[in-house]
Amino acid sequence: MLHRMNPVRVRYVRDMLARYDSGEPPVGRAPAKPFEGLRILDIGCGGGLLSEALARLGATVVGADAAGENIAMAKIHALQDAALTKLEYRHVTAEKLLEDGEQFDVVCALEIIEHVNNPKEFTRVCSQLVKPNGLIFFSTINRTPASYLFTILLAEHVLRWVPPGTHDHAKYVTPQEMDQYLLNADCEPLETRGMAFDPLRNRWSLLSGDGLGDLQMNYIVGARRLDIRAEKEEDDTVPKASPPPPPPPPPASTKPVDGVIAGVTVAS
Amino acid sequence: MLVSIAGLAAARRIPFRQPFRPRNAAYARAAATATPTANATHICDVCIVGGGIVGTALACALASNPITAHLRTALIEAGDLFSHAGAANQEKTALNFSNRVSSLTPRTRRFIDRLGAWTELADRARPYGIMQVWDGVGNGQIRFTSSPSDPSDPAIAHIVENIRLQSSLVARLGATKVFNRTSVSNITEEGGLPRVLLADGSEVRARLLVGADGGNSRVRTYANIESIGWDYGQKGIVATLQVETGINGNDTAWQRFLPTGPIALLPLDDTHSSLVWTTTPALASRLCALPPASFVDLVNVAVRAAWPDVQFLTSAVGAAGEPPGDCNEEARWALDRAAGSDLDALTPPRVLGVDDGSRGAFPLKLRNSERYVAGRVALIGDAAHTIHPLAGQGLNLGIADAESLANVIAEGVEVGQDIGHIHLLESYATQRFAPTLAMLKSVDGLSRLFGTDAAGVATVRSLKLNLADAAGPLKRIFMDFAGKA
Repeated sequence: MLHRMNPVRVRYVRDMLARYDSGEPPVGRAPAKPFEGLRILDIGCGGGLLSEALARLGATVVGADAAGENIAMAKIHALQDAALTKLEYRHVTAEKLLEDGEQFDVVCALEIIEHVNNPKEFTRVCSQLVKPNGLIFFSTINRTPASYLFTILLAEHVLRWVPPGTHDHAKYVTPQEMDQYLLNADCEPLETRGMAFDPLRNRWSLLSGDGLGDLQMNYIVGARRLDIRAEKEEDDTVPKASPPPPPPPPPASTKPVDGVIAGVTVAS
Repeated sequence: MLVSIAGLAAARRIPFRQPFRPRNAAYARAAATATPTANATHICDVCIVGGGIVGTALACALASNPITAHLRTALIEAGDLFSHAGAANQEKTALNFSNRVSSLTPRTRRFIDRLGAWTELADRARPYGIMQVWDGVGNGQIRFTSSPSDPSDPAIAHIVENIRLQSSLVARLGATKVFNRTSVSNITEEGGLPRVLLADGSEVRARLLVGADGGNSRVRTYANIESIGWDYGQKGIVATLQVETGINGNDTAWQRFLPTGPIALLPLDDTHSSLVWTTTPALASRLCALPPASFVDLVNVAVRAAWPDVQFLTSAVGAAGEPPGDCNEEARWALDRAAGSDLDALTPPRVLGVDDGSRGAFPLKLRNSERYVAGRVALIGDAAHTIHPLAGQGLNLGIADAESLANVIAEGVEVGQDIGHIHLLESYATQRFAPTLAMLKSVDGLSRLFGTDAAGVATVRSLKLNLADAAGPLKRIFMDFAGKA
């Protein structure tokens, strides 16, 4: 499923970057390599589905996952394409990357926030990994009766597309919550779009986000990290980039199951 | 699952390199460990096996689209792709007409034009605006004329010589790496990628292997895809004919359905037409061996005379191509008898001669592959399907395959997809399988409908043709199927 969803996610990221990326496009960027010159973090990379696509489009990609087996799987898979030279996988958490002072032009956290224990804090850490004015992307599943029916009852228990227990409905995030997390993390949400699977055509498509029910299930949001460091220094009510006080279990630690699925789809 | 992961883990990392640069030392060592005899390993994105018109068109389409132009594409052809180099540019009179011609539908022509390969073909391509189909046994007939509603495309189709189309495409291969006059010795898999071993000891590994290698496709065999179908027990005779110029020039495609198969005259220019005569294998070899003058007589009879006369004269041809006694005179009588009848209202051009060495015969079959794709493999053209030539759709279907696959690859590149992944390739198969099957079925049905002279069938058939001629919508369907498909 994730494999079929990936082209839709990538197209969204590609279109958003084309529309909102204020940076000067490097001269002579080939049409097939629109991400040339960008350094992108794929946090919760799982089997590397998104990382590989971003790298093929010209980006320098760091795929990070808190689960070692995901990283191993992703590395093996990347061997299949000898052209993937600007792709690096790291067994590391978002917090650790921030501690190490890493900065990226773009951060993608797709299908991961519904697996972390503290989504608000996770959003904040991810946002600080983006350069000011850079774009950040989150995708997840809305917490609705429909999403329970399809992603848990049907997908996990009836059709067994994914092993039971992959998802925890209570951890799903509503678009309103997602926007709030982003605003708290000094990011401006730009566009929220639904993603729907059409079983007849066996493919995913992007919905406008305005239609009734468009955001009932899977959705993706792109946001810009605001450049408000100056203001922040004046009223510093929230602790800054320092490591979060109670070290929660690594945000991506519940991801392995999902990652394995991605790996299975990819490797089979 | 475990096995495949272990297999992947064991896969040697192939160092990335520019596609076809002289190999470096490290690379040579890697290649040497893989196959001791190999003298070069080429890594590419798309490897097309078979440099016929369809395979070449795919390579051109990839090279001409800015989204896919960066892909490293290899084209492997056992024959000589460049033997007709410049054929498309030669003066019209400088070259005899080739006996292998194709009727290109407007859709195909537009695609060839987008590739930039049409302009130099234009003066040699013969558009026809009228297609006349009639029954050799009953009196049914149907006349298609180009639709005035589409003035941008006034022709039903264009007749083009295959070698000219081919050479025009070959000139637009761009950065495609061509392995010319190189045959494939084996296809295996390594590290999850198809690996094509060439007769010269080198090898090509590709993320996507495309089979454009015809009816006996090795790529199809490698991918373990079954091809289902049957032989018609018929042969198609092709030849280039000299014809008498009619009042309106030579602007009509003529096709007459005889119980042994259709005979068609396709206009090449004012004084030449291409013959496609479908008949039994035994008769085909006899007709090919006939002296030219008698062959011409028999073509005239087959196109214009009553079916019993056609039957009488063709059955009198000797096993080694001895002409029937008084061939010329018998033919004249048969044509005189036909004169004044309904048939005479149809005036296909009188055939005057046949170009030396232009006669040939090939067996007719119907084949369809159970699937057009597998992991890292796609089949296009005759490798995917073979069709009865009576509607002239084989090449058009193949070129539509090339167009569709090139578009699907471009869609995948746009979102960074692995271009050999089955999920991507499935959309190519989805686009092409159903329309191809529909075309195979209707052409097969048509060939069976006309492949009999049983009185009842012939009557109903003629009725159908006449009704089809009168009834707009039905005619539209015929027309779509013959020209606009």
